[in-house]
Amino acid sequence: MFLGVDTGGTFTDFVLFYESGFRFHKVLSTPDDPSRAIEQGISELGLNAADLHLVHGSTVATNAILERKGVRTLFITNKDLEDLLIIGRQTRAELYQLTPAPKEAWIKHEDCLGVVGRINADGNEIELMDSDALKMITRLLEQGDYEAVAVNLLFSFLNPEHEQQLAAVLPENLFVSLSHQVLSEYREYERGATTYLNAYVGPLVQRYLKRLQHELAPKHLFVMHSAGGVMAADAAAAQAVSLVLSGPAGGLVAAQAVGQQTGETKLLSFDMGGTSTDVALINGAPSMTTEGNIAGIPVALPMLDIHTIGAGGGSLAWVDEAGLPQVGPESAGATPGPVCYGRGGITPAVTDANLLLGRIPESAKLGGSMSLNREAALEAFAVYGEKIGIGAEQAAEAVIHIAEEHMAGALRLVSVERGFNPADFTLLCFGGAGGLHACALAEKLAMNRIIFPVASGAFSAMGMLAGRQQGEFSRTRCLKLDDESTVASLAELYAELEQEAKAGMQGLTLQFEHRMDMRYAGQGFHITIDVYESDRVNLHKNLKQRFEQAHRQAYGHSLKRPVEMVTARLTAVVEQAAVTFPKLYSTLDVGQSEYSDVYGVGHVPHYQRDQLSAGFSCKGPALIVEATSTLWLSEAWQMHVDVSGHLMLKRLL
Amino acid sequence: MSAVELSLFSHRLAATCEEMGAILKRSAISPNIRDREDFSCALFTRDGELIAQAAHIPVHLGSMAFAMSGVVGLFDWQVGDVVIFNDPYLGGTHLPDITIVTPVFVELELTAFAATRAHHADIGGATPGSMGVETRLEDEGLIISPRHWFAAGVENQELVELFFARVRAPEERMGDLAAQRAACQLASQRLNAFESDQLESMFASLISISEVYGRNAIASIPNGIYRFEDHLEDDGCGSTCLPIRLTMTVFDEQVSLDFTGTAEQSMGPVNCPMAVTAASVFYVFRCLMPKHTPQTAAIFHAVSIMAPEGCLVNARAGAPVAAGNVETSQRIVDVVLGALAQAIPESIPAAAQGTMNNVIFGGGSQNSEWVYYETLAGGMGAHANAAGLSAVQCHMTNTKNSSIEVLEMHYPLRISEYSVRKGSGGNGVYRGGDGLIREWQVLENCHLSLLTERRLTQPYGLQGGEAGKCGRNRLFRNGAWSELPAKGSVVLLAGDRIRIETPGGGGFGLAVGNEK
Repeated sequence: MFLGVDTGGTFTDFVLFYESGFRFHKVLSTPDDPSRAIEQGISELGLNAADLHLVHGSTVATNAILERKGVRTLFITNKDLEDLLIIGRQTRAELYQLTPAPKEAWIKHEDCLGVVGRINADGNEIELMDSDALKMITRLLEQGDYEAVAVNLLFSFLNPEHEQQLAAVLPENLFVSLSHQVLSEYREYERGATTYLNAYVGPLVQRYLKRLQHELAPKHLFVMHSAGGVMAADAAAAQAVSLVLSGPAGGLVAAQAVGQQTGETKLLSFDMGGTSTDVALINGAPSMTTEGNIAGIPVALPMLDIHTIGAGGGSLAWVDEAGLPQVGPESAGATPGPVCYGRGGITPAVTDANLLLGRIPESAKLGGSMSLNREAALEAFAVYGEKIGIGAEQAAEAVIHIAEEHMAGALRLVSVERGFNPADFTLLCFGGAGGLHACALAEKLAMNRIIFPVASGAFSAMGMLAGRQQGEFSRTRCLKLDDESTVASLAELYAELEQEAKAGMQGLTLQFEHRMDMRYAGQGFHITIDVYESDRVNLHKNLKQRFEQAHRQAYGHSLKRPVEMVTARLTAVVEQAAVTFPKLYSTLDVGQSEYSDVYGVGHVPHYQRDQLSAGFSCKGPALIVEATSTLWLSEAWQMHVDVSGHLMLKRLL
Repeated sequence: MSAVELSLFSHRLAATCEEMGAILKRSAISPNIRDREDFSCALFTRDGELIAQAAHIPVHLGSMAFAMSGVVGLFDWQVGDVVIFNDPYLGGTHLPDITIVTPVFVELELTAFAATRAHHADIGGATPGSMGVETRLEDEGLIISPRHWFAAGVENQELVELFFARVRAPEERMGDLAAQRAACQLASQRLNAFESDQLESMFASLISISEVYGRNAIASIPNGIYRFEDHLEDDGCGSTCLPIRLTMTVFDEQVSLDFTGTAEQSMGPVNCPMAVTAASVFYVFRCLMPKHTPQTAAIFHAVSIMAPEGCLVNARAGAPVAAGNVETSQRIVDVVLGALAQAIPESIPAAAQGTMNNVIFGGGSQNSEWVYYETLAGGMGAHANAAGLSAVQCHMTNTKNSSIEVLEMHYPLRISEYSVRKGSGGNGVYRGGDGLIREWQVLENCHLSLLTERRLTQPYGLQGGEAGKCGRNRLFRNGAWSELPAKGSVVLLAGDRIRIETPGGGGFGLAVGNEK
C-alpha cells in the first residue's frame, strides 16, 4: 500500500492509495516532533506501518532555515574570500529606503574561515593547500560547538582535490558538505550558500529521518525533494537542502498528474492560502529553475519553479494618505486572523469581504469546526467604507477587486517572464482560498478553463504518491561546441555523472535523462536543452539546432556566435507505474441543498461537493461548498464533474 | 472617478510597466541589461508627463520624469513611429543610456507614450565601454538627438548604418534595441484594453491625486531655509575640490532647491545635465514618500530646482557627462540629504559611500578585444535607529556584482581578495556601514579606467557621528604598492594587482563608548 504524508504548518495530510481507491485523513501537526502526528495518523487509519510504502513531504529542512534553527556550521572557503556569503550579490533589498533595518545575518563572520590554496579557471592548482590551515581548522572545531562543516572552494567543480584534502582531516563525527558534491556547478556565491544550507540542516534531517525509520519501520521510506521526485530516506541527509520545497513540490506533481489525466497539458497552478499564494506553470511538465531561494538565500539546486506572491485570504485592507483603498501586503496571518475569526482582528481582510458578500456561506465552518462571524465583518467594513465614502458591501467588493487585480498582475508577470501567454493555459486551482477568486482571475487573464481537482485539500500529499524516484546530478565544464574534443569530453562527462548516479542510488534499475545548459559565448545566462543519444556524436546538426530553436522561442532571436555548453545535467529515474485517479463513485442524486444571497448577484444555489456525482453539471452563479474551501462559480461559467470527480469549469462565451 | 477605480487603474499601470520590464529582460542580449537589470520602463501621458514606472533604477525614474515632455513635443506622431535618443542635453542622461519611445494610439487617437531606457555596453566612445575620462561629449560616443528609428513602421536605414559604423558589437546593440521596442509595443496592447477618453480622464485623476503624496512628504518637513555644501574631489582632468552648494527652502507643501554657488562646469566628465540633477533630487524626495506611492511625475510637482546654466549640475550642451550620472549624482544626493538632516534629523541617514567605484578593464588585440565593467558597493550611512548596512550598493544604483568564477573563466583576471573592509564605517552611537575590498590580479597587459570619488573627502557623519573612511585605489607592482588616481586610465602589466577599498558610511550620534 502506498501512503503519502505531507506535514503542513497546521495539519498533516494523509492519502492512502490501495487497490480500490483513495482514502484521505488529516491530523493536527506536531511541530516539536512531526513524527508523532504521522504515527497517530497511521494508527487512526488502522494501518500496519510494516506494509507501507511511505512517501513523505517534510518541512524539517524548510523550518530550520526559516526559523534559523539549524546546527552551528563552520564555513570554509579560500583565504581572503571569507566574506563571500556575507556580501552576497551586493544589492540592497529596497530601492527607496533611507533608513533600512539592519540586515538579518544568516551566517556569522566568526563562522567563516579562509584557507590558503587555489585552483584556477582551467582546474589547475596554482597554489598549494596550506597544511597549517588544516591544523587551524582542527583547533577551531575543538573549541567551537560545531556540528557541521561546509566547504566551498573556487573551481571545485573543475578540480575537487583541495576540498577532498580538507575533508580528509575533518573529524568523523561532524556532518560535512563539500560544494563539489552538493552542487558541482559554477558561481561561488550560489554554490556556497547552497552548500552551507545543506550542512546547516543536514544533521537535523538525518536525525529526523532516522528516528522516523526506526520508530515506524515502514517497508520503504521515501521523501519528496524540491525537483518533484522522491528519494530514499537514507540518501536524503546528504542532499538535505534539496528538501526545501518538499511539500509544495507535491502539489505540483499532483497538478501534473491531473493534467495528464484530463488531457490538459498547459496548466497555471494557483494555490492560494491565508498569507501567500503559490503559482507555477506546467507546460507538459512543470518548469524548473536553478535560481530558487529560501528566505532570500539562494538554493541553486534544480527545483520546481514555484513563484510565491505575498497576497492571500488574510491580506488586510487599508486606506492610504491620498484616500486610495489598498490591500496587502500586510496580512492578518493565523493570529489574530481576519475579523470574522473572532480572535481579536479588527482590520478587515479579503476573507471578511468574501464572507460579507455571501461568497463564503455563513454556515461555513473554518477548518470544518469553527463558525465565522459575519456581523463582525460587516462592522469592520462599515468603518472601512466610511473612510472612502461608500457602504460596507461596496467596500468589501472593492477590496476583492483590488486583491484580484494584484493577483492577476502577478500571474501575468510570472507567465510573461517565462515566455508564455496565460490565455493559452488552464487555471488549476487548489488550496483553501483560491476557489473564491478563480473565475474572476481567469476572466482578467482571458483564460477559458479552470480545473478544481479532487483532493484539493490534501493535494500535496496526493502528489507524494505520483512522484517518480529520481536523483539530479550535474557538473559545470564550459565546453565549446565547435571544439573537436568536445564529443569525447561530453561522453566522458556523462559517463562520470552516470557513475555518480549509480553509486548514489544503488540496487535500482535506473534510466537516464541527459540535459545540457547551453548559451552563446559571452552570455551570462543559459537554456537547458535535452540531449539525446544521437546528439552526442553530431553536436552541430542536432544539439546546436535545438538550442537555437529554443533560443528563438524564448527570446525571439538567435545569434551568429559560437555556442558554449556550460553545465551537464543528468536525471536518474526509476520507472514505476503511475498512480491514477480512480473513478468517482456515483452517490445519490442531489438537488440543490440550500440557497443564499450573494451581494450584487442575488439568490444563488449551494451544492455540497462531496454529494456531486460524475457527470453532474450546472451553470453559475452557484456556490460549491466543501469542508476546507468554497468555489464561487460566477455567471458566465459552467461546471461539469468529470469521471474522477475533478470539477471542470468552462467559460460561456 | 471613484477612489476604488483610481486605485485599480494605478495598479494596472504599474503592473504593465513590470510586464514591460519582463519582456525587455527576457529578450535583451547583453548581460548588463539581462543580469544586472540596468534599465527602466515607463508610461507617459500624451503631453509627456510620467504616469507610471517600474521601480528599477533611480537615476532613470527622475530623469524620465523630468525630461520627456520636451522630447514628445518634437514630433508629429504617427502609428508605427519609434523614436530613439541618448543626447544628455535633450532628454537623456549619459550616452550609454539609450531611450526608445513609442506612441500609444487608442482608437486612432494619440493617447499616451511608452518608453524604455537601458544602459548599453558600448556606444562608440574613445575607450571600450564608453566610460573613460574624455573632455568632449562627442568623444564619449555616438550622440543621438531624438529621431525616428522607425517612421510609420519604416526603418531608418541611415541610423542602422550609423550604429554599425560607430558602435562596438553593433548586432548586440540592435538586439537590445529590438527588445526595448518589443517592451513598448506590449504597453500599447495593454493600454488598448481601455477607451481613449477613459484613459485621458483617469490619467488626469491619477496626476491630481499623486500630488498628494508629494505634498504630504514635504509638509512633514519644518519650514525653513537649509544650506549644505559638499565637494566632488576632482574631474579627472586637473580640477579639484569642486563645491556643490545647495540652499533649500521649505515652505508648507513646497520645496525649492537652489544650486547657486556650485562650481562651474568642468573639463572632465563629471558634469550633469539638468535631468540627472533632477533625478538625484527626486530620488531623495521619493525616499521620503511611502512605498506604495504611484511613480508619476506629479509626485514631484511640489519640488522645484534651480541651477545656474553652465555649472556642474546644469552643464551646457557639449560638456562630457559619463561620470555625472554615476558619481556626481551620488554627491548631489549627499548634499540634499545634508540639508534635510537639519530639518528632519530622525529620518535622514549619514552619508553613504558617495561613489559607485566604476572599474573598467580592457585589453586584447584587434579581433579579441575585451571589456569588463563593474561598480562596487560600499557602506551606507547610519541613522537614528540603526547602523548603516555594509557592502551594499547605495542610493542611485543597485546593480549586482559579478561572480568571481564567471569573471576568471572569461577574462584574464583573478580575484585575490573580496571582503568587507572592517572598521571603515564611521564611529557613532550607530556605526556607518563598512565598505568593501576587491583586489584583482591581471594575467596579461591591459588597460584600467577608474571613475571613483571619496578618495580624499570622507562621507560625513551626523549628530556627532564620525565620517566614514575614504576609499583607496592602489597598484601592486614589482613588490611595492603605489597609489592610483581617483579618476583616469593606467596601463597594466601582467602580474599587476589592483586593490580598491571602497568608502565606509558615516556614523550617527556621538559615540560615548556604547556603539552598536
